[in-house]
Amino acid sequence: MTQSIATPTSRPVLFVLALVLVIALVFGLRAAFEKPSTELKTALTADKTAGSVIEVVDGRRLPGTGNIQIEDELVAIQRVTKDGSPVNSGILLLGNPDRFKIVERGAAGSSAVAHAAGAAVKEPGTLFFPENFASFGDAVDGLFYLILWITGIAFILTEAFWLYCLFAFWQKPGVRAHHSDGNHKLEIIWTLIPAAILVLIALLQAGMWREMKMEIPPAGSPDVFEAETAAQQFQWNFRLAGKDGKFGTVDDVPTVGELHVPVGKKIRMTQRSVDVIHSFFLPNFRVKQDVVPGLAIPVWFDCSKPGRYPIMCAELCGLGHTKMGATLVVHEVAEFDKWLAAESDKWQGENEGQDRPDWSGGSAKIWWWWDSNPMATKYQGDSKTR
Amino acid sequence: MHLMEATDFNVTTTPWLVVLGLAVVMAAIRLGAPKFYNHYIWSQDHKMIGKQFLVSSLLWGLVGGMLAIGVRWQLAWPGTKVPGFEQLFGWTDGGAAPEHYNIMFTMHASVMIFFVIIPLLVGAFGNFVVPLQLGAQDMAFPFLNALSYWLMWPAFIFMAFSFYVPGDGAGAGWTSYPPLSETMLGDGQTLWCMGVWFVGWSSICGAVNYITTIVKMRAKGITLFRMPLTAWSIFITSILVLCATPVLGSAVTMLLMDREFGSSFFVPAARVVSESAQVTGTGQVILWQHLFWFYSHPAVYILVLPAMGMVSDMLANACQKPIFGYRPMVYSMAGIAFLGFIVWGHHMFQSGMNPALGRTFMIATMMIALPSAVKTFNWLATIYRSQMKMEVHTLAALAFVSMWIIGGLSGIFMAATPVDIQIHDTYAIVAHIHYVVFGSTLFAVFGSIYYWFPKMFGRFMNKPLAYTHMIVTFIAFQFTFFPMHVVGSRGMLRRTADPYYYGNLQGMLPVNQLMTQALLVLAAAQVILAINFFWSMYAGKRCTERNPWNATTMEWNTPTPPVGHGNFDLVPEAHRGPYGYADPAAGGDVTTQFAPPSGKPPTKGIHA
Repeated sequence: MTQSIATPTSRPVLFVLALVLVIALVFGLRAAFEKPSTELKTALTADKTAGSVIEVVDGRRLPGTGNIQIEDELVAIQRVTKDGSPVNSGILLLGNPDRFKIVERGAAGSSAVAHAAGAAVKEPGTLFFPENFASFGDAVDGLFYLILWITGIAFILTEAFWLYCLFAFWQKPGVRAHHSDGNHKLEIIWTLIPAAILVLIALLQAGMWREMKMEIPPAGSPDVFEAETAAQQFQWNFRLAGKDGKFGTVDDVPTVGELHVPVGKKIRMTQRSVDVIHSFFLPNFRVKQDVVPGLAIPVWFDCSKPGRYPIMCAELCGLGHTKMGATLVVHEVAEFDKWLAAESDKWQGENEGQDRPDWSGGSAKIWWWWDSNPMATKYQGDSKTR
Repeated sequence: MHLMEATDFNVTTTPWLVVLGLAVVMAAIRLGAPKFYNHYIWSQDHKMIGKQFLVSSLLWGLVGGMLAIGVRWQLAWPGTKVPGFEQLFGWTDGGAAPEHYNIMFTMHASVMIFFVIIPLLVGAFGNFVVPLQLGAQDMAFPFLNALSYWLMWPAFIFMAFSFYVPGDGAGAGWTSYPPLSETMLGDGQTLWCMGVWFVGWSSICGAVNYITTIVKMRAKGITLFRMPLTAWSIFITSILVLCATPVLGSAVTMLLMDREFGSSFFVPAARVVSESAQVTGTGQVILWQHLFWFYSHPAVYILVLPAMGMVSDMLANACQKPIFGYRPMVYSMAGIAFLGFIVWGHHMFQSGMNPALGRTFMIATMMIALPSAVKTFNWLATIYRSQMKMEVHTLAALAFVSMWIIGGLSGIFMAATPVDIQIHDTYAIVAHIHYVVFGSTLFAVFGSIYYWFPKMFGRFMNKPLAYTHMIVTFIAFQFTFFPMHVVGSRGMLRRTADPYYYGNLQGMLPVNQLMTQALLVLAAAQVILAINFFWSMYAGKRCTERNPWNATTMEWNTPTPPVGHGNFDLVPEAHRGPYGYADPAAGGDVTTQFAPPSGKPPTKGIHA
């Protein structure tokens, strides 16, 4: 290279060009994350017959098999070829037209579409985090976006400087590199500025963390609703106190794979695991807590909108980990009270007079285990209530 | 608990018999061909041991990369067979079943961390480069050095066997959290523990050796603060290894005892296994996590500090400019090493550890970003107003700096405890670790291979192939790993065989397909490296100069390749610091560390 493109006059231009390139790359990323097919949803709403094949143009962003929720109904669909046979070879899928067969339709939560036990399709809220429905979630999202801005600016400036250097400083014959062993002042500046920013971030989050993980609402107050979790390989067992408001009695309401809670209340959950470590993850409520055998760990959140939300297991728990989903069902308060009373009566009728309640649904042993092991947990905040 | 049965016993002895067989074969070679044995098998020459580490790690790298393809294949085309996996592992589902998916990601991480990155950095380049940079004739304990390589072989054999023993292989993640890792049936998990145990021994032997060598064996004139940053980084890393690895060894031993001998270090009170009678222990599940991360967080720095040192050397050479702020670079490495010991809890924010502790670890984690930032700014300042040579190691060092920026910045999200609640155990973490360990460390390793290859083998690697490898890897890497930040913060969980089970993750399939396609390109580029490496070893252009890159440090003062067992033909003596680039005293020219002052001829040594 005889003449470098970087001259003292072209250097600022180069730097700006590099800056623009990095910014363009950052925002170009959005294009890769468009929303999944709305056309298919519309078509599925119109066509009610199982077995029929629907063709759409914008179906590229859907998997080979899966479920789509349309109002209260779950529809299991499968990507098929022209002759109606399922597409199951990965590479072929890329060149395949977007043709879907309706496999099965059923009410959400029913066993008709059992595969979708934990799945309620949510449109993504933002580019990064999914939509939030918890009261403390806004602060978390705010912190996330603050850090994203800070690191984003740091990223753009440093990478643009890097790109500029990449263009500007290739070897030219007869030219020596600038000699510098370092600069004490600069070292101090670029230690202190990041330090100040990091301390700011650290201070901002301390209160948030305390609110979310340490200030668990006490049981017994009127705005608090209690629930219990017994996680096991590979399902989520939940229990609500029945009409008498006490756990461990015959009118308790056990559920498997579905957690029913009232809207607006603070939900206080005590979580235990029967076998291995699981993790209770509510992506729409900014809640994640490992459920650890040997510990009873309190978790709390609240929800501002009735609906169905995914509960995911976030910690590897074995072969069935990938399908250890559940659904959080948030009801209006009046509707919830009616539902709870009916369920409570039903379970009381079945268990009244029995020494050891024998609940159906595979969860009998779980709650017997729970009630016969009132372990004195050393976990903070829990001894007060249990 | 896992009870020993007669069949189990037979299975677990097979790998031991293979280890024994290896020893017998070695003994036979020693008797039959002692010269070959002393030169290629049980060599006590640090250069040969470095090459042994290099070759075996690169081969394991192919295995680890293949497992990565298996993992990503399932995420892009769930439920389909991964080509070749049925024949290779005997899995009729071709890797589509969740249990095999779990084995694939567990072994991908274990192989890449324990068999590829750590041996490459510390074993291969630490061994080959550090004694040369210090002007030493060999390591302090050559026998221990050979032992540290051959202790890897039982680990290689155990890990390789873990795929093939009946029952499940090791599928509890590379973190192997109990009780899952204790309730895994079959011998795969036991073999995994044995493998890690032997890797630990190998690391400890190496660390003792490096520390002694660096403290005691420096040539005349090489004071601590005249050591190149590679030597400094290996020194600091070895201290980390020596302090942290025994903890991992103990933890793995406890896990083994829980699995095989009925102890209950990690067995909690009141647990039900498969609806059978309750198993009651007095152990603590979270204890393992504390012990494991007390090793494995420093291990993250073991994975990156030597890369930082090597990149600093390559960058100074590439830019023909001294490293900006040599002393701050050393202090920040020491700072990272110290802080690295008190941040392990940031892996455990959601683990059920007392949340009050979480805050302490959060502050410490925020602090560790500082020395990392200082290093980044120093590298950028080194590039500024430099005169970069167009060489392959230039590209590698530049790639390292830019990828380290991304890997470092994404760490701040995880350090912020409330944000970590959302992104813990998601692909955002996977993106972060791959930007640090692949984007940074592996690019440094690629650069180091190209940089030190002539000194190792006396031949150059093919340049056009090397450029192709570097550029394709860099671009494909971005497409493979950058989108993981976004899908992760949207809630895509790691370690799930079929994430599309969850309705809220179904829209992410196309992005995952894009990432997998990019990975296939990335993998193809590594084939170019493998071909280039092994071809150049025998048929590359000969390198006869001592100092082909016009570098300044002591390893370039040896003949190429270095003479026999003893390295130097001239008595090694340093007269100045390690980075005499653009030296004003020499009219802006390069002054090597070993050039005698005022044109005195260098002293001839015993090997001349």
